[in-house]
Amino acid sequence: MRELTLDDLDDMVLGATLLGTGGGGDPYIARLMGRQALEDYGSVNIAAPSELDPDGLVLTVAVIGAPTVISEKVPAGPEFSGVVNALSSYLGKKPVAIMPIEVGGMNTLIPIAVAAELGLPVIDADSMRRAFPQIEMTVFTLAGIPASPMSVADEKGNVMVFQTTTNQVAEKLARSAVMQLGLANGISCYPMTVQQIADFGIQGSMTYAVELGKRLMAVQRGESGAYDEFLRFAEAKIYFSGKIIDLDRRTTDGFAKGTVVIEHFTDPNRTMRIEIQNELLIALEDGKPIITTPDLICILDHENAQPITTETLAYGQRVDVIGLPCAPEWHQEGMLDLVGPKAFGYDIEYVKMGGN
Amino acid sequence: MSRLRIGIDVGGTNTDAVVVDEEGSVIASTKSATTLNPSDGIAKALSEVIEGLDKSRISQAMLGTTHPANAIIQRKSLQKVAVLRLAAPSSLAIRPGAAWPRDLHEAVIGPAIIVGGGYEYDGTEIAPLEEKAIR
Repeated sequence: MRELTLDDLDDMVLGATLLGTGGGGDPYIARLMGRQALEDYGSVNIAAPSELDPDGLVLTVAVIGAPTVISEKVPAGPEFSGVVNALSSYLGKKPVAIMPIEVGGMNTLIPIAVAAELGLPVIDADSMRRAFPQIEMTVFTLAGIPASPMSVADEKGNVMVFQTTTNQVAEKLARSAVMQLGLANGISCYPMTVQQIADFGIQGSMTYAVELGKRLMAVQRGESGAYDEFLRFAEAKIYFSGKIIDLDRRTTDGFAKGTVVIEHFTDPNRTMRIEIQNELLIALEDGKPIITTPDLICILDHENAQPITTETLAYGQRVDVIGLPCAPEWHQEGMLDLVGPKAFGYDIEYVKMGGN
Repeated sequence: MSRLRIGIDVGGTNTDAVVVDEEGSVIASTKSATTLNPSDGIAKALSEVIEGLDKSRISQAMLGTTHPANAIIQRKSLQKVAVLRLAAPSSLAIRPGAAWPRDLHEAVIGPAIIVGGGYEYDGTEIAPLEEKAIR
């Protein structure tokens, strides 16, 4: 086990913002919750599955709703411990650890606050190692692990437990519940044993977010060689550097959808277009797909290497577009049907990053 | 008769006041030392600069000052304010001023409470306004 300190928290926030690939909700609010929880309850331990009882129950916790609502309507707290307690009593078993479902964006930090409150460790794993907008978009779905039983709660004391037939139905039911409950709620899904997480989860996600953030922080401080080290660690590459010359963004069907066009700094004939649905999903250069979901597209401020979220993209920004390969655990049967370009309605083939 | 606008700048050293007309020509101006209590200097500069003018022509007055920024940076001459957030039971996870530096928080934030009130994204009430708690 390793103890998570307040310093780690800032690295983790930066790493989580990057892994949000433009979406996932601004982790600022979640960082404040994490910081407050560490101050109020003391430290939190990050544990590898091998350090816990293999038969022990692990419960996930996340915020579900619309990022725009969540950033205005600050969480209360009981909706998160509430969903964990509700699922724990439904299952008749106490959890041995808490797990983030999504290490990317604000849901990286919520489990820290809950684990601190409940006095439990956070297991060093997740199901995405990036941000995705829907509950079924996990490596657990690929492994055939049900999202249910799952619980949803609000801050007023409304709690429900769902039993569903598929993870797609789980998404639909949870989504309709949160639309009635203020679009900023707590959810706990995919209850699992430690052994199942060791077998089917994405390993080391929390540590990865901290290490990634640490290296990006060094880039932001302008340390020599830091950018190369950051790219090496993330196995990432700068695909394009230029200025945003067009931006089309609208909120439809509960998603922030849009397109951003970037003109190359030195060659104005080269343009990159990025398609957005909450997250940055497809990057095309002159119409040819270069980076495609589930690989990660991140837009960084060209001057200070700060990840830019889709809400804060603006005309005239000078940016670098970098691509990171998705977690290796994604590469298994069914990946493209679940989270490939076609799953989001793009008639585009997946381009595997890294060449092999 | 064109309308007049007043501009006042309270700096660290001097308090300046000017009156300009619609063409931007300066009609009157004054400069005096900034007083310990900035309000005194503002009142003095204002009465000096409008002396002899037809007050009915004055349409706007604007004040710019570095005092709040200086007070915050130096943590000096700050007064405590009460914070009332109408949101409970929502938002309780983050206290008012949670992201503020501790010393600034101590200097400025007085009684801070989160009481029942506020609305959801769809216009429904989060909770009825808790008037009793506010009183």
